[in-house]
Amino acid sequence: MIAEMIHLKIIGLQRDSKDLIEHIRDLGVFHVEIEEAVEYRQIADEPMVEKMKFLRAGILGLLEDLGWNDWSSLPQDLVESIGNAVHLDDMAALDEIEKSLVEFKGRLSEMAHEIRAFEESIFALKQVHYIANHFYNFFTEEKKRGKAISFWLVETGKISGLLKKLERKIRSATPVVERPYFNHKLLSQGENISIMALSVNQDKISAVHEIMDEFGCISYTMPKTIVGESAIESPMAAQMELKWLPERLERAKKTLDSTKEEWGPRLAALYILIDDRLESLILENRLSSEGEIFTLTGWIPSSEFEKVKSSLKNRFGERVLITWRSPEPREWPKVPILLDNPRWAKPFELFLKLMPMPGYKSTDPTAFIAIFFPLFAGCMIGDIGYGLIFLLIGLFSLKAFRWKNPILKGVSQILINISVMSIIWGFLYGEFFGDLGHRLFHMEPLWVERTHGIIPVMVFTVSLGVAHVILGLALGAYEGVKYKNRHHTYERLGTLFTLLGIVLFVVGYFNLIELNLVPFVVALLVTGLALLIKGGNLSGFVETIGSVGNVLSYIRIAAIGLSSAILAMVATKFVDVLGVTFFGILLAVLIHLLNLIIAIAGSVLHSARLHYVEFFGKFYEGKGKQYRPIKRRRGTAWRKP
Amino acid sequence: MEKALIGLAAALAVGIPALATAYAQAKIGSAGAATVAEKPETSAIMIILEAIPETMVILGFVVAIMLILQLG
Repeated sequence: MIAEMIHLKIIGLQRDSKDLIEHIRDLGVFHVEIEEAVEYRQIADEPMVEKMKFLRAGILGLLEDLGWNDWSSLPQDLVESIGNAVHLDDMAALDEIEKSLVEFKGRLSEMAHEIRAFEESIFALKQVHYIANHFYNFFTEEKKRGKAISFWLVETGKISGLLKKLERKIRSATPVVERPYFNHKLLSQGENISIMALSVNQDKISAVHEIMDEFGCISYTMPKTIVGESAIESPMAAQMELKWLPERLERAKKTLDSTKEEWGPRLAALYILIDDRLESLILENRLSSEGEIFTLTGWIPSSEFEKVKSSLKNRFGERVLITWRSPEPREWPKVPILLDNPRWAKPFELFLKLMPMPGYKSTDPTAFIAIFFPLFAGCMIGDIGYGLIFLLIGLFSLKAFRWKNPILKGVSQILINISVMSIIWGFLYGEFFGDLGHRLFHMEPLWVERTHGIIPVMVFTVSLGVAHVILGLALGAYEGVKYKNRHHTYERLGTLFTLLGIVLFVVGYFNLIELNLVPFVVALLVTGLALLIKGGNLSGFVETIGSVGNVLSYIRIAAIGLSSAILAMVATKFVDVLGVTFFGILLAVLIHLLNLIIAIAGSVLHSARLHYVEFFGKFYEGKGKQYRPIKRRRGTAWRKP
Repeated sequence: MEKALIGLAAALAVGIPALATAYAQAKIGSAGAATVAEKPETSAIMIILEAIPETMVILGFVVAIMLILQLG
């Protein structure tokens, strides 16, 4: 259900405005009413607000650079001690913080640069060391012989042609009395490029250059180590550097880690303080004031009203004046929406968070989702074994996330609800990991075996669809009455009566009950058509046809359930075919695992779709805005923004 | 022969809409993913749009079941 809200106006003295805002933030239930366009202009002109926004963004950037993200364990006393040491209302102090942050950023960049340089050096040195080792023997042997050695980058595809041409060239350039000399060694560098070392007599080096230029080869200079020696002449130097460079890299990383541990929480605390103060400052700027008096208007849940009233009275006594009233119908579109459901339905509010909020005084469908969603999903899964697995996962994740993540806690509770319904449907269908229950324990269905009795399941799901769609139409008509929208009311009622008429016609046609239904059918259809005509336009007729389609859409529950049941049976069949062997059991388990994933994903998605499309389409209008009270970031609720 | 034709008809009744649904969902899905990336608040609307073409294959499935039941 949607919580009742109260419009609250607080009038006080300017000198109390700061204290009042801090007090309201401590209470954490006041949703401030603002005129966005006006307020944005005012705030944008305020230099302190701009400075704080700049600092806040800067700190967040520094935390990103540091890689610090441990918001949940930020100690409260650190925030308080930094809060006592820093004066955020002083522009000079903010300038000082900015200066320190710029210096810190410089130091951080240097550290990051140093680490990057070490990493790149290590990578490059490894490459050089590898190349130098490969050519070292060739190089020293040829050098001993007094040959001219050159290195080249060549295209791998051209190597054989190049070598032939080089040999011919060397031979033709060598006088007959001399013996031609030519030696080479190759090292592949990826798919297309190779490094080629060539050794020739000293006087033939110009001939080598000529041919290499002709083939478009590039001369390769063997890199030097950090101490300046050529890697090929002194591979040991490269090896030594490879030993101490990682140590220096490790030292640089440790320095960065200790900076992160030391400064991460401090910066985060400063961020929290600036963010906190900024929110108050923005609010102070939004106060409408006249002379020495200010006015603050907003909304609070009616359940919190007495607490807020007495708290303000105790804190400020006669210095503030409070007026309050319930929202008038013309104000409903402006009232912030707070969903306030009982514990059993609370997790299902998640479905509305994916959509715009419902309007004030309209229907909150959370309770209906809490009933129908697990029912549909359970009907699709319909297996005791799968249900037990989901129940275990749900209980485990609930235990793990209960205090850590409210969204995952809600998801776990939804999973538990689905698993319980799956187990119940599993008994009705007589399924335990497909037909394994029947084979092992002679388990029999309490209602029907899905794979053999598809028609009863289909009829049941369509009936479920009729009930769900009619409920949606009834809620739509109720919304129309509440918002005094006659067209809406007549259209929904007309569709509802026509749909009921069609359902009774089908029941009568197949003689499902021993009663003459013709008068009822005629009455319902005539009333429905009359209401649709009264509704005013053709859209009502289209809506009626659409509703019939919506009802048929619920057959998906039977269809998906059937495919899940058959896949589970196929898994067990593998043991029949391959025997009770390791391979047979492994295949069966894998297929059950696949089916398990498909079952939960399919059932959740399709149940959500049935709600969003078939059910919500009949009454839901997302015209509300979320209730967002101003409050402090405190305790374990701190999260990275 | 008649049974074979009924079987073929059932396969086509579910197969052709399945292809059509898959085509439509592929188009909507890629557009939807881009939209949700830019505006996460449209997630539910995208689920709705993504799910709309499924009606074709569901109705195809119903027709296929009706045909298969004729086989006895």
